[in-house]
Amino acid sequence: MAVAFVQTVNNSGLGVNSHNIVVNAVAAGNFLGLCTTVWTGGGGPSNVTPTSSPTNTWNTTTAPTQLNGASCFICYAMNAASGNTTITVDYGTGFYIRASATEFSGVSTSAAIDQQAANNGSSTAPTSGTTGTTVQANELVMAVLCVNSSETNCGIDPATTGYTNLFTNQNSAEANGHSSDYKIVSATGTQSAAWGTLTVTQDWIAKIATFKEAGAAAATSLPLRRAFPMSIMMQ
Amino acid sequence: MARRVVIPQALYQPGTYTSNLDQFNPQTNEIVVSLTRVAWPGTPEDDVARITVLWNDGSGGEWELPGGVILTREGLPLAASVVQVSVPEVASGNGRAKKNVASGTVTFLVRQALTTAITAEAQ
Repeated sequence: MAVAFVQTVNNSGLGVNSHNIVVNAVAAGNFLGLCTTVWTGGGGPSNVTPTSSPTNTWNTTTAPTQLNGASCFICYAMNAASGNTTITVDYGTGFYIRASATEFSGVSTSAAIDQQAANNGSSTAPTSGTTGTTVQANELVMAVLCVNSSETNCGIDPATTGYTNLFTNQNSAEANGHSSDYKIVSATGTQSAAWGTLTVTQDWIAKIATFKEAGAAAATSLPLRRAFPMSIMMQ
Repeated sequence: MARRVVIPQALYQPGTYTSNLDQFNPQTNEIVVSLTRVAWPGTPEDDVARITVLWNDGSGGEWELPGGVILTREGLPLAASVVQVSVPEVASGNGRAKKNVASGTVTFLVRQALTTAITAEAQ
């Protein structure tokens, strides 16, 4: 079954103590990807594991190194339970958050995570870093960018190349600048994302992760069969 | 009901307060709710209130609001807690489309008496 986008819900909170995002009518067995960008005044947010109702098993990817109190995270739940789903993340006290919660079908229901990378910097050219080579052709790639500044217009372009944007907000002065994006690939290779040229030099943090499509079996080698010479007896 | 509700500064006693928004146009992208922080009780570790914003399909967001003084990046007191929820998007044909949401509900649960002015708007 091919990976396919189902739905996405995006929201933001400025000066909040926990954050719930509610996704309507999740289908049983589907994949939920949560991309968050966060700033806290307490020295930088930690990688936290979301919870949800109905209960799903949530997983984190390796957190990027935070930069001046800001970071971004990709978390995911495989083989989700069906129904209206409330996803909760809590990064501490009085944090600023933007998040997209996206449902996909066709993602592996176990051991879906494949490759990942992270990057941060202070410049006008945010990039995710480059992953290792994916182990199979058909995969979902998710990427998220956090821009941490006092700019009301960060100048973020949706991720390139081949990505579809899930959520963009340019106002870093209000929470943070955010872009979450995805693409579905059909060939093995390394993956990366870039978000154009920002208006001015700003702090940014980025994360990328790939997830395997369901049902793709690993290539196996057939046993080598010795060919026996045949002779035809003509009578 | 309306697309924008503005409630001037008032003292809210503990309880639940609800506003509804509708009269959306096809350009509606989000609901934004702003709550001014006027000497809120408690400390930032206290969840003194909760704000819930839901579309008529049940999707949306919910946030616990801290008491006391929250600081901005510049070290200044945050003037207002602001929450935002976008219209959901679903698969449509070979692409995506915004859901045809008809209304939204804003629910303000107050746990400790606090003073705030509220603006809720479908933008």
